[in-house]
Amino acid sequence: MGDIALATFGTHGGAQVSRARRVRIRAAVVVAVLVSSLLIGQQSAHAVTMTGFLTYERTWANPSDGRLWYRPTYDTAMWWRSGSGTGSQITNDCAIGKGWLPVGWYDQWGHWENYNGTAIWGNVFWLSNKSCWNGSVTRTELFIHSEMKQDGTQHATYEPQRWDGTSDYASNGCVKLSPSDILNWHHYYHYTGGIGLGQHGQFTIPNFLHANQPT
Amino acid sequence: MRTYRRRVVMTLGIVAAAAAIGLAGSVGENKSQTVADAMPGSETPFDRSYVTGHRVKDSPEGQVRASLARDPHPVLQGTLSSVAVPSHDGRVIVYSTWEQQEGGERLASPSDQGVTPGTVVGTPVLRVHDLASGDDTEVARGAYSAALRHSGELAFFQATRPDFRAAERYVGHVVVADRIGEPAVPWTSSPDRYIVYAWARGTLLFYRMSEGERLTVMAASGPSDVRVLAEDATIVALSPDGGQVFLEHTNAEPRVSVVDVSTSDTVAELDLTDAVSEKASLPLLMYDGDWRGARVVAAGVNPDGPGVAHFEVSGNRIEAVAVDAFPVSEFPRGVASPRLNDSGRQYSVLASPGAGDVPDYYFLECDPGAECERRAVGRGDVPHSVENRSASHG
Repeated sequence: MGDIALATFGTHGGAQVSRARRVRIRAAVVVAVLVSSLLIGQQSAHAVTMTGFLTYERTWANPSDGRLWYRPTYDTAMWWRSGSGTGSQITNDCAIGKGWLPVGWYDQWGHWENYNGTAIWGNVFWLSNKSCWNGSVTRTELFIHSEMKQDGTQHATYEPQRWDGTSDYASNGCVKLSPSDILNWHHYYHYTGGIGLGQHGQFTIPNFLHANQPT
Repeated sequence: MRTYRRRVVMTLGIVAAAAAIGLAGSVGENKSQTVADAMPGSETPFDRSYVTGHRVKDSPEGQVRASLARDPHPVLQGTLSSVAVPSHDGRVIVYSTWEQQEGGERLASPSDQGVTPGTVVGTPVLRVHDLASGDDTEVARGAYSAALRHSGELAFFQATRPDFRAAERYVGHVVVADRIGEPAVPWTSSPDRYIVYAWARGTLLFYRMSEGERLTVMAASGPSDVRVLAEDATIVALSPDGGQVFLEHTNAEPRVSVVDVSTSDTVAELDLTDAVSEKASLPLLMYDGDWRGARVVAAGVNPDGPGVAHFEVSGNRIEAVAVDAFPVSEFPRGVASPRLNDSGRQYSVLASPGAGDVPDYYFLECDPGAECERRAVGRGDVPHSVENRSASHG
């Protein structure tokens, strides 16, 4: 199955972790919906909730070999290899353009299948901004993406639109997946994520992703 | 003050040069002079200063040299650019601040903090502090990353809309004013996310940040006279005379280069994979290094841990001279922002040995091949450099 791995949780430690996360996520979503409904009004019309749980696990020993976990249901989980950050300050999430994704909760601010940017293209998921660990810097322009053309195919020569292998898991801070894996995740996102996840463009999913750093 | 001995390794890729020079010997003394050698480095009254909170100091043990009205904050620029920039005559400091409006809880999502698309999260404000009078006033709202030229021109990023809002790209222009407080005119022709670096003689260097924080080094010589200097690269340091810039390209490939600022021509480059030995490898490199005389230093990391790489630039040649390695067990967060002293050999580097959420910060003052002295900054106080990276001439 390539880079995707499926796992079914039993009653061991992994299940307990999963249950704790599920409670936390659900509670957070409820609070977010209440707040947005009461205070924001207009924004709540665009807010979408996701029933599955998305987690990015940073890997200290090899940041280009992290895990994007997706749990569409309580007892099912799958992951895709993903990288974040690059260079000497890869584990310093205060290093703009270099460090990996800071830990914490992220909203999703948009999703496009055929994004036409200046640095990333194709199938992308826009993540909210995040302060780094010491609060000195706010990381911005964060996405889950791959290397592909706007239409999702591979460019023959232009490196930013051509996946060359494991070296391409390096990113400036985004979560980066291989082209086939992001299409696979995209499939699960649309078909098992929850009501309203069929849309594209700019919209909000509260608590879309949690990034963590396993010890 | 604690003395710290670090492991020093040499790269075999330049073994001939290293053997001839000696580990702690007079590196670069016998090399042909470059333009950089002929011009003295930038020397301002704040050449080695830093700020924690609102206090500006020269050294951890030194006196407070200035108390700014607000805490400088590099929230949108990090160490890509100086957060506080003194004028060359040492009379004023122009600094970037941040006025937080909403959110700010590091681990919570924006929605959990009531922040939804369009919510004003904060506003970057550029301020100027007069050291003689103590006056501290706003220069511009929606502005950050200043570069102050020797002749007085002030460049900075000015957002199209001052407030930084959730789920909106923070775009604007690089603008230039003839003097602090005078009207600023855009030098960029299209709004984008920019971070101003420094003046290189009459050329302004800045970054353009694209999606995913992809960085492009740009150069401008006047309004709408903008060009790309290097894509997927960052600036390690500007030469002391402002004619050249030392770039790292290690995001895309392990390479460093020297680029002529006026022509965008690559004058010299070095493939770092050629400089890998059995004993040590040159680190992957980081922006925010230093250049004095012919010597360039850059922080980085190799498979064994963090380090400081030393290069010599001479004409169209870059030589990797040495790598000072620091044990990852003691410095898990690495070392950053090395600065050479006037000799062009000794340097200081910022380190945070703690692994907790509130670490201690230190400056390590190092003599290549010998020892480092550890000077504590303080617990939890993130030090930011107070320096004018613009060339002191032109």
